[in-house]
Amino acid sequence: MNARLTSHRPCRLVFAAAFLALLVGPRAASGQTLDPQPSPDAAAPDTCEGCHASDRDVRVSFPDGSSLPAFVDPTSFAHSVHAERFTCEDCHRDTGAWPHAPLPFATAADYRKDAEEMCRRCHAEHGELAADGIHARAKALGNPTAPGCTDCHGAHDVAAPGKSRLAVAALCGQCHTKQAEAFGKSVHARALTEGNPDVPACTDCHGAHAIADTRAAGYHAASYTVCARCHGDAKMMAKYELSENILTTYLDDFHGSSNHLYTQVGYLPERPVATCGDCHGFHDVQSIRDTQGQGAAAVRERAEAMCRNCHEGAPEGFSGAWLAHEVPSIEAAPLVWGITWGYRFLIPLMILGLVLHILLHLWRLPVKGV
Amino acid sequence: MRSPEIIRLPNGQVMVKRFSLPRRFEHILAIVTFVALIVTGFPQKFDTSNFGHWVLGLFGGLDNARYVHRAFGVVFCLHAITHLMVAILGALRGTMRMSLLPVTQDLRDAWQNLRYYMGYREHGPKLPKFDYRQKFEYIGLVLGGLVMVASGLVLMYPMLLAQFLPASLIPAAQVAHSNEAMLAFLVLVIWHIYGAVLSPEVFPIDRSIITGYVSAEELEEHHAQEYDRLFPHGHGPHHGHAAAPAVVAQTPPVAQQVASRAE
Repeated sequence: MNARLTSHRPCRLVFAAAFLALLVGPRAASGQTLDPQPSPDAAAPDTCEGCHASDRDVRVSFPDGSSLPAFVDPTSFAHSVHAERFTCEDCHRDTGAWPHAPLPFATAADYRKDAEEMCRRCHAEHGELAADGIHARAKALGNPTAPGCTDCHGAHDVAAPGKSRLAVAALCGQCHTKQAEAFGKSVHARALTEGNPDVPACTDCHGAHAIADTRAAGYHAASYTVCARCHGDAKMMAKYELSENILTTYLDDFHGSSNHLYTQVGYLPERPVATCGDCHGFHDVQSIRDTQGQGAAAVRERAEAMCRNCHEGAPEGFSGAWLAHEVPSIEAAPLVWGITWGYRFLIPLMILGLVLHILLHLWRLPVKGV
Repeated sequence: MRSPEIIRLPNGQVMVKRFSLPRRFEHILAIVTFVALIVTGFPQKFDTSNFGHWVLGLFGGLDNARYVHRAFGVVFCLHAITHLMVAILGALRGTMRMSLLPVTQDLRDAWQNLRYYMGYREHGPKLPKFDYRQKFEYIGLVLGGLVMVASGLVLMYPMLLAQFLPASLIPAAQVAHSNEAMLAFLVLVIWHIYGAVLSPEVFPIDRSIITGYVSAEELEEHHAQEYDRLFPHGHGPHHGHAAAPAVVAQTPPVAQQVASRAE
């Protein structure tokens, strides 16, 4: 008997299931219940589906007493991206034909850990990336709830990538509830639910596989680069009538310049210096259009509260030091504008004058004789 | 008005004192602070420069470089205050000639010197102890230094400033500090290094700020007005005659050093 599942197209699967029903039927009728580990002398099933697609209670048990469900919903597998390409044994290589040899795992957790190797056989690149991610590190440190491949992608119902990003966000939110709640209030989430293709969901900022630890040293200082991917893109900003100068004005500012240098030089700041999220929120990013409606005084007051988060005891009016992402102009920041332009004239004129004086001196010297 | 010390070296060369010991010390202090401030400040100004990143790395990162910058900023600030106090007190007591302060003669000197450079005059004007080029640099240094001190203090204590003055002065101080530094740096490397090092008239280097003395010949050539003041007509020191009235006959120990360096 060929234990290999030779037919795996959905229509054939249905056929196979019907065929199996014929085989299994008499056994069920004879009063035998399907044991999770049927005794070897029980009638051998022809195919995997014989047991795993027909009995919702079939489980794999491990020496320590833990067990895992071993039921595979045939329709969910049929809709998976693997359905048309692979058979059961392509992944479950060591299982062998019936009767199964005992699995070399002491616990269900061990099995699950090893199960990711199945994915890595083909998806080596993503496996590598995930191994660098925070989830893999958490798992290595013994966090049993840290997700692996199948927790996000599904196992038998593995979906094609390019799932709606809203669905991805919902997936992350299953564990990261606080962040998901905050993100839900953001301008990004609002646009995401409206089907906007440009706003970020979780994975656009955090990555999907090599997810960085946001508490890691240097993450905060460099986090402006994440926002800059879109907010430093003039074309995309023009599309939404947002300022094209958000990144450049930030980098011209003391805070932005500092964080840029911390990131580039590779030494960490002794005290964190404000980055995008410190004022705008990290997950609950609000739209500038919402705050504009509140009036200048309210915005100023809010900004001042932001300043005091780091500059303890900042006096009233301290937020006047912040140019609010405005490019200095005669209207927006006349003092900065005036000084900048003053030096733009003064420096070249003075240097030109001095160089001319030097050249004249050199020109005259041979006449005079040194 | 006191006359400067004048000495004769063993080789017969007559040297006129140009810079007192405190002034020479100030010059060394200015070199050290200037270099330290440029090295720690410019990588912050040119924050996209890879070379700047490398320099900041040598200091162990931005925070360390900023500590060094602020420490030397404080030194510069104290130096500027002391210098101005000494100058003001010296002027009030009448013990200083204020030979570095611009006077209307300097405008005339500049005009005549440029005409001479362009060939409209046979000779340049007779220049005082510090000519208009040197005064320009000195006044520029003092005024620029005040801009740097004021804007630097604002950047060091922004919250203190905001208690008394509009906070919009803080970003203004940032651009002023950055631009004034650029101007000072360019004037220094172009004007001062030419005048004191590269100019064929002083090359390989003008030693007067190091030794404190200038030779009577150099004085006569470049600062003829001062020379005439010290050596009135007919009493020039280098025609084999003993000395002008002010020449000190004996050779003090410092002049030995001068002599050995001068040879």
